Amino acid sequence: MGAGNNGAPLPANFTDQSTGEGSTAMQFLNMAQGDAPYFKKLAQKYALSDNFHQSVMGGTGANHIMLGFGNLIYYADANGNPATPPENQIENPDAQFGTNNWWVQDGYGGGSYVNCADESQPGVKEIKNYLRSLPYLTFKGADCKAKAYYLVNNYNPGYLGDGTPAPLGADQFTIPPTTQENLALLLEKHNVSWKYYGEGFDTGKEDGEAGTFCNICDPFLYSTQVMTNPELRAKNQDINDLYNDIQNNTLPAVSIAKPDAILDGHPASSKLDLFEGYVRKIVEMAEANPKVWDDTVIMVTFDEGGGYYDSGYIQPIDFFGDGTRIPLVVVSKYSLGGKVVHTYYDHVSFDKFVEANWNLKDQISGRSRDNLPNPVSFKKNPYVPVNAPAIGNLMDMFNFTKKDVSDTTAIVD
Amino acid sequence: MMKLFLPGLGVRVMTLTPLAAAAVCAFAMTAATPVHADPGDFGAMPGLWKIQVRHVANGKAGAPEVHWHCVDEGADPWTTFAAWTPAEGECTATDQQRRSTSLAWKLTCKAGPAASAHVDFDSAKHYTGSVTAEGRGEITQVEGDRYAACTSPQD
Repeated sequence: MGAGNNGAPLPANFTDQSTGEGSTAMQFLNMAQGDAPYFKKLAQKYALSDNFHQSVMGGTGANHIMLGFGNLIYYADANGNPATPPENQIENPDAQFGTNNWWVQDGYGGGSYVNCADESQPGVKEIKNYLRSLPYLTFKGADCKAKAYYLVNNYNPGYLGDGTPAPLGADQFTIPPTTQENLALLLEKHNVSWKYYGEGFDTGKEDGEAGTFCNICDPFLYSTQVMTNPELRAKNQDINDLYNDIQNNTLPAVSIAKPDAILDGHPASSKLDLFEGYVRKIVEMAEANPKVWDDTVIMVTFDEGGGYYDSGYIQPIDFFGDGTRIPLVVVSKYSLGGKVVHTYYDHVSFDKFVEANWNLKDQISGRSRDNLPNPVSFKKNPYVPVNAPAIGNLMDMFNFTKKDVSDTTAIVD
Repeated sequence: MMKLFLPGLGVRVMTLTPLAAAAVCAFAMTAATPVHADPGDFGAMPGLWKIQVRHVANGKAGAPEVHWHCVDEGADPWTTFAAWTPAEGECTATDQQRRSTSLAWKLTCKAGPAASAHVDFDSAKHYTGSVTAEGRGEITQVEGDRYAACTSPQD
């Protein structure tokens, strides 16, 4: 059913080719023949993960939310308490009568919320039964907050870039503002500086680069505490501010940078070499400033894999994922240097890295995945944690002390 | 302490659902001679638009009805910005004229008088428009402002 039916009936003469999507199961990049040359160069010089995952089996927005919150966010009332979304926005993966798994409700302009605490909701019990069948206890026992309808796909954030609450309603496909804890609030609590740089943000007007700013990619646009506080809201900036901060030695401790829709490598609107160019500009700018290069780690990844088939191991963590693998390259003078790391990671590993690097001894919330332990694995199968559920904190992508790692890195090629 | 950046987070999932943003006005409009505009040269910015519609009676515009809708990058300007008709029920658009910053068309409707309509952009983020019915003068005023970005079915 492609990207979702938005509650519509099965079209007449429907075939697997008429979805407009789903007929392309794989993409082939032959780096030996010159594809993705810059990413290949980075991987050969710095460090590559082949076991890094999107956090959610969902779209761009849900995965950025997981990056920023360590958890998914739910439909909330004005006080931040769980509330019930409009009926047309609730996922229903039951098949419509007389169809071959054509869902009742799903899609960008339709069902994207699930109340996973309620096993009477369509599709919930089946997933919970699967999680219960595993040989280990999934995160928090795969429970979900009572009466909470979690967003599992792409909906507009609750705030516009200037702090205005976004319009809501059954036809808006916008999640109301959330008061759930997030990475920005954790960093503020511990006095660690941060910024989010989104190309096209243009001081909150979101109109730069011909209007191609990705609003669902900035997890802090969903947050009431960030967007109603002018000081915190101002930490959402444009990519040009990143360039200035690199050149002026004014980078915060933690930065998240996002290209616009033209440069993001998305197959529908961009090309991979444009994304390479975007990364290259930032890396070379950082390398050119010794003060920046001396203490900066640049992590390059994708938010999700576009639904392509992947042969890699996926660890069931909780109701929402993990998802399939995506590339991760870490660029730093402290990276392992041309190695491939097999430790299990997902987007929340970034949050864990921040917490470990700044020695926060704290997590985003009691329900965020940064509470998970680092993986323990055996050399014969380094991809699968034996202490599941577990995700790494990315520290083993680096060798900060320049020690001999040849004997200790059983999980590194 | 190390500084951290995540410059990537680039690829978004392809979702090719039909454009959900088109029908701000709940009227049906069909084109006698379909004109499929090339969106590439039309000067409207994608994103979240606020549309204010005022119905005009006896030369006086009423209070605005406010509609919010998302305009996808590459959306057909006709289906996105030209949904205004002089009457409920089926109307047929003819003589559709399109420039990079404007749309103009004529309408015949089963349940209303013939009319002409136009939409004119003075920037990529703002337009005004109206519908004028034969024998009645201007009956609808429309103003659109682009407020923010919007996720699209292609994300």
